[in-house]
Amino acid sequence: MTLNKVLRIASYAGKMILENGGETYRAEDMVSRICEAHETSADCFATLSGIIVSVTKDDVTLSNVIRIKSRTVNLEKVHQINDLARDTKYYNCDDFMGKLKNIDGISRYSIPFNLLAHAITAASFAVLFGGTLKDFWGTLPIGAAVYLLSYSFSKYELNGIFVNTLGGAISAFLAYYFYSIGFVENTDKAIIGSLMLLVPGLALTNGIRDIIAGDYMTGMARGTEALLVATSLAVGTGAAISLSLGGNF
Amino acid sequence: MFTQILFAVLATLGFGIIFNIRGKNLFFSALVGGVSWGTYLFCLELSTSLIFAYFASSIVLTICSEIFARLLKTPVTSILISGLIPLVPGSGIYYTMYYILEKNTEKAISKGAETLFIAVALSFGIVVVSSLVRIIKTGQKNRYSRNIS
Repeated sequence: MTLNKVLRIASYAGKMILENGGETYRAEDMVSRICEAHETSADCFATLSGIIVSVTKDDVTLSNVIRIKSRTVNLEKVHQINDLARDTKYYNCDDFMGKLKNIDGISRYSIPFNLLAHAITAASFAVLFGGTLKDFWGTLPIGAAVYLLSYSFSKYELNGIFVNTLGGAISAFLAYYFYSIGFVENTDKAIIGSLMLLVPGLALTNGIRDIIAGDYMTGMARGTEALLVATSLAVGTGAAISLSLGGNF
Repeated sequence: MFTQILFAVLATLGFGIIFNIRGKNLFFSALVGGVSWGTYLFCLELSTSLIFAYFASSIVLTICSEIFARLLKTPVTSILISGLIPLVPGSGIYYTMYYILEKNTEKAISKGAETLFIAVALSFGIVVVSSLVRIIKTGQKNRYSRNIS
């Protein structure tokens, strides 16, 4: 059953693209490109949370539905799948599947390096939003704390709302604490700087890009996701701010 | 202004690591982030409107990423996404929801509208450039096929 194998590899590649932060049109493109390379005609409908592929050859049609549950951004995988798909016709289906599995196993940067990256990003945003150099040093540990939180909760596959609320609360608490010991000057800059790690600005912009491109479902889904994440962040920080201000007065 | 651009590059670099971009791509995406933030500051210096500044910097950003993506043989996303990070209106969404929770409806609406306009301006810039690129590419392909036949 080669048709079955073609369907498998095409939908697996599409699934990986969507799971790792590729656009929906890229996933749909990828699926039809792989199927065409194997001389079958294919149609694919991808949304943010699922992908439907059907392949046709010689009066036989097979289709496959894949549900996408968790999404992260891992652009190295997108890059490598893209490279691989360009050479589809040089591989047979089993080799291609093996290569895809290899790509799926690509690890991220090490934890200390990630910690450093989160800290520096948060601190740089605090300065970009108008903070001082003192805020830069003060926001470094807050960014690191936000990463430690989201990393330690990532293995439980919890609801994003819970983690984001907690992240917002922790960054606000730490910012006010550092302010009280004279470690940062502008609490709001420190808070929003560290929240930039969690905040869904990219989701909103990509959502509008999808809507312009005609992917209304994905666009609306991304917009809703952005709104939900922002709400949970605001709830977390709001609660923490009122608690810490209440303690001071 | 120079320090601002430096910090934009640092922020983009950090997000590049978080997004697991590797090797040369990481360097160029950080560079592109600096360029886009520089364009934004430059536009503000010329006292254009805020929305136009975002639109212009998103156009410059997308042109740069299309060029670098061709050079590095990588999908445009892997450079564009992280270059977009300094411009993206994350703080706007956060403040909007924060004002709503504070029951400060007036501020929430004005902040929310601004955020939405910024996001629309950014995505319009990207769409304009990528459409132009598609037109150019299709034109080249047609010329090529005509030569062969």
